[in-house]
Amino acid sequence: MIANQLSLTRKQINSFDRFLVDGTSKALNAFETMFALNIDSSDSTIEIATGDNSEILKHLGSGTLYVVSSAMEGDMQGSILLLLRSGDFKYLGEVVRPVLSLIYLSSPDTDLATLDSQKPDWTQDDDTRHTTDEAFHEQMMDLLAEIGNVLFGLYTRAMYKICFLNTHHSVPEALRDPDQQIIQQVLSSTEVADQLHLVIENEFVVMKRTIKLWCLISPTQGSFQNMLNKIEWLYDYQDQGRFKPVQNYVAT
Amino acid sequence: MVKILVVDDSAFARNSISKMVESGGHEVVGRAEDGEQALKMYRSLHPELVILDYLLPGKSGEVVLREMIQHDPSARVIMISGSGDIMIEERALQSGAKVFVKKPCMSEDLLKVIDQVMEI
Repeated sequence: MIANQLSLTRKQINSFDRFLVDGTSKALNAFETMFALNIDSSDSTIEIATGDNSEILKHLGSGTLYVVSSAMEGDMQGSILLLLRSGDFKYLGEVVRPVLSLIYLSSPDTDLATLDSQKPDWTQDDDTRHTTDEAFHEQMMDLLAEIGNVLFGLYTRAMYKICFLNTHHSVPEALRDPDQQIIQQVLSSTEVADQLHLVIENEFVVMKRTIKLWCLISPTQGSFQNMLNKIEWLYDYQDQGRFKPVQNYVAT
Repeated sequence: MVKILVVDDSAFARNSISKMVESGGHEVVGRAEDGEQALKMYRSLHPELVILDYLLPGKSGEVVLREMIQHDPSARVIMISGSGDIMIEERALQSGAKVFVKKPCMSEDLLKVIDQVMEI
């Protein structure tokens, strides 16, 4: 295992597996709850790697990405990104379109007529624009930011469980990134060339088609080292009887 | 039927929450996307209950909550968030929220919480 080259201990590897299982299972549940969908099957992989050596990041290819970006704050600092390829974003749109149509259907805010006429448009229903492609794209970007918001929360909470570092994320921003500049900025902004990142690839099948979501967690060098140290001493206190390792752990 | 103000920077979340509460027979009297709007709407619309997202651009949900409580100590606020901060629930309750709810939530769970809060 390339994990040995990184000198990750068995405790650390097991903890990252546990982090993946916890975060991803909750993420899938969240996805089903948000969109009233059944996910037919899913698979996920975590990799601890430098930006240059990441095998998982190569799966992104070179095309347009849809990115949700947040800063990590609290006991761990750094960046956290959610990444979708253009095709996955498009298919996600097809899958959730019926749900979005329902959610964005106008509902009468009858008591607000007076306020509306007085001026503020903060009382308007958000949803009178859902019929055009442009409006749908806007809804999808808003939706993507909310998916990122929920997933980042679930992963940082799962992180806490393995290292007791209380981390949270800033207000997420969803962007279309044709040149993959955002991920390059995150990878190149690290303090050292061999800075490690946590790279997660989530693949799930919905309505017989696969959607892939990537999550790039990039703690600062100090935060990463702190996390590894905390995992070591916390591991022995974990209830290992409940822990079920995933099949496809990859550490490069 | 409870008159509710929904505060969330995500239009998807605002609309989802609104649909959920309307399905329980409640009325959404306003939807705000940031803290300043929320405070203005609270003062203008006098909702019986506020569902307030914690993570807002600009003024955070916690600050908004404190200002609402300062303006109206009887304000009923349900704080909602997807944040991974494990202290967030405690801070929200200390700041005056009646209940803290994690995102995403199911319609029936949110409606139960609304009933509970209105009985307090």
